[in-house]
Formats: sequence, structure tokens, C-alpha cells
Amino acid sequence: MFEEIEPKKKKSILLPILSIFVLIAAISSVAVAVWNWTYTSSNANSITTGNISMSLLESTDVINITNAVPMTDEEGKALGAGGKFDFAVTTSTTGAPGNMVYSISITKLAASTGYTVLPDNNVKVYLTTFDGSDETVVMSPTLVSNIITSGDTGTLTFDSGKESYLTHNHTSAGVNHTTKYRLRMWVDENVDASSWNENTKYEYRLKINVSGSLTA
Amino acid sequence: MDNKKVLIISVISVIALVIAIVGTSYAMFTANLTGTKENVINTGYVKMSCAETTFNVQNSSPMSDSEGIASTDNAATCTLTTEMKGTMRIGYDVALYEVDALTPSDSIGISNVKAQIYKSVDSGPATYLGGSSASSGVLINTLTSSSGTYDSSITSYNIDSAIVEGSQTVVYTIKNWVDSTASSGTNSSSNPGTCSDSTYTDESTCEAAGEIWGSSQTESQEGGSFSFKLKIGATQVLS
Repeated sequence: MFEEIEPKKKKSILLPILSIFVLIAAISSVAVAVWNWTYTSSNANSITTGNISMSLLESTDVINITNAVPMTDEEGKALGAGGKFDFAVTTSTTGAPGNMVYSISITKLAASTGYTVLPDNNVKVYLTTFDGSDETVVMSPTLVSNIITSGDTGTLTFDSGKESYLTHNHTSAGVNHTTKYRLRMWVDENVDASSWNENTKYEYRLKINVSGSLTA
Repeated sequence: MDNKKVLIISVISVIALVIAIVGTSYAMFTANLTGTKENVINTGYVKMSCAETTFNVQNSSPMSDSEGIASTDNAATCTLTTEMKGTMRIGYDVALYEVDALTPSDSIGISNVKAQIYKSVDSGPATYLGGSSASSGVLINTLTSSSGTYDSSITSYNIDSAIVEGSQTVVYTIKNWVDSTASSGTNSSSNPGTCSDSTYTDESTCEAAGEIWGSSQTESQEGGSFSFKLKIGATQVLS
């Protein structure tokens, strides 16, 4: 069916085929040889952070005053077991810059069933730091209703938008820093308790909150 | 007679040889013409280089976007210079690579590190890249699926793909900071029996020492590190 190709014809066919292959190879090698450049950094960019922690330690001995009656500031400041609440705040900023700044607040809680919450202007709070028997005043006896808004370190603030909100700002520098606090509360001496009787059931309940952050 | 023949043949041969030698030059037409026009190929060239500055921020703390952007010690730059004699279209990709490669299990990583990335072409205005803007950063983990256009080896963290056709200087800037809203790496723990002085391990000795015994709760964030390098892949784009 097909005629045998003569050797001379074979040559004449092979030459163009070879030429095409050579051309393809030439084009291919041009594409491979196209200009390229790659750059990679020799040095890395890096950020490191330190260890940060904050702890709140609350004493098992809480304020639990029953049958409270109005008392003077001097009496209130001297309240002992059952009339004081100790807690400690520890901050640690290993390898981290700046200081831990934290604020302490008291949050007023709802009264127990059957009780009515005492008004904020009936209750005084008193906050100290202590080391052994030595106490340092952080907040002198203050009616909860009189706690003023202030951003200054060491002062107490009151946010009227929340339930009794008392804040003590503290800046602690250093790797490990523990501050021991003591809170006392009592019914203010100016409260008229003449109407109270055996059926009167007032109560004031609160808890401590601490919130902090690292500042540069 | 024979000698005569030999002599004649020899003479003829010598003459023929002389004619052959001399006569050849006359027997062919030769011309040597030297052109006056020079045809020249001078090769051009394309050079690209990246002059880098890097950062190494120690003991950083989490910060907001505005704080991170305002910081001055957290910027890496690459001044990408293209010098070209001739005409060539070059496509290139700029990417982060070896991202956090050294310490991938650290408490800070691609999900809580932010970046603001921008470039300035020939000292022009900043063009923000990777989803960041003038006022906000982008979390590094949002760049994981961004691959290169011109360099197939770049399969993630690509931050820009562009074409350059002449000499040009592009300054790339990458700022990084630990995101203040990142929650990963924060641990909470509580311990019902703790003394304010850890020297004491029971209630009686703790309270006898004037310390506080009670339950404690702790929030902590472990330190860590985040790192990256830059990679640029460029290739000629044939039209």
C-alpha cells in the first residue's frame, strides 16, 4: 500500500524534521533561560513577650456581721474577725516591660431573700494594706455613696452606672509583687436606726473584683 | 633526444608552475570591500536588590492597632531597587516566609500577631497591602492562603505581586505587634488552699505568720516569640 521511501528521499524528509526539533529545543531553552531572581532574608524579624500573671487570693474569713447597728468610724476601723475581709493581689511580670496596673472594686450584690438592701449612704467602707500588725490607709472610712470618680493612683472611684463600684488603682513595678489588703464595712453612725425593729431586715452584700493590665 | 625532451618537459613544468602560481591570482576575480557601518549588540542588564532593615523587639506587650502602628521599633523594611538597561517586564512576588518557624508552639503566633504592610513606589504615597490599612493591622493568619503569582514556590503569606518594566525603587514596610485582643495564651487557674506567702503550705502556719490563707485565682499569659523573614521571587514575563 505504501511505497518504500528511497534513501535519498529519506534524507530529504529527515532534514526538515531535525530542523523542527532543533527549533523547538532552541525555543524551549530560551524559556528555561528566562531571567530569574530570588531573594531571601538572612536575618529574621522577631517579637518576644514576657510572662505576665495576676492573682487574687481571698481569705476564707469573710465579713459576716449579724445584728449590725450604727457605729463610729473608730469602732468600724477596729473591727476584727468577722468584721474584716483580707485579700491579696499578686502580680508577676517576668521578662515583660512596664508595670502591672490594677484596680480593685467592690460590686454590690442583691440582698438575700427576705432582706432589703441598705442604701449606699448607710454603709461605710474602709480599705487598708497591711503587713503584720501595721496597717496603711488606702481609703479612709467613706460612705459608698460618697466615693468619687478619680483616675489618680491610690484613690477610690465610684461609677454610678454600676452597682456600688469602688476602685483602688495600684501600680506595681517589679517581677513579683504581693500586696495584702484588708476591707472593713459597717453601718454609719449617722444612720437613724430608731425605726428598726425585730421585723426589720436590712442587708448589704458585696464582693471584691480586681482587674489589671500591663502598661508600657 | 631524450634529454631534450626531459629538459623541455621540465622547463614547461616550471613555467606551468609559475603560471599556475602567479596566474591563479589573475585567473579569479577577487574583491575585498570593508563596510563603513558598524552593527553592534551591546547587552543590557537587569538588577534587583533588596536592602533590608530588620527588627528585634524584646519583652513586648500586647497592644492596640493604634499603638502598634505608632510604634517605631517594630518595622521591617525592604528597599527593592530595580535597575534596568534595556526593556524587560519583570513580575515579582514579595512574601513572608519561615513565619514563626523557629518557635511554632509558642503562646504567640500567627493568630495573635498583627501586621500593617504597605509599599511606596518611587517615594509615592503608601499603598496598603494584605488587608491592612492606615489605621488597622491584619492578623498574620489571614495571609496563610495567599500565594505568589510569579514565583510558584511561594504558596502562602504572599503580600504583594507586581510588575516592573524599568528602573524603580519600591520600599516595603511591615510593622508587627502582639494583638491586645488576642485571648490565646491566657490561662486561668484556681487553688482553694493558698497562702499569700508561698513559704507556708498550711492554714495554721500561714495565719500565724500574719499572712492570708484562702482560695486564689490566677490569670496568666506565658511569654513567647514570633518571627518571620522576607522572600522575593522575580522572573521575566514574556509577552
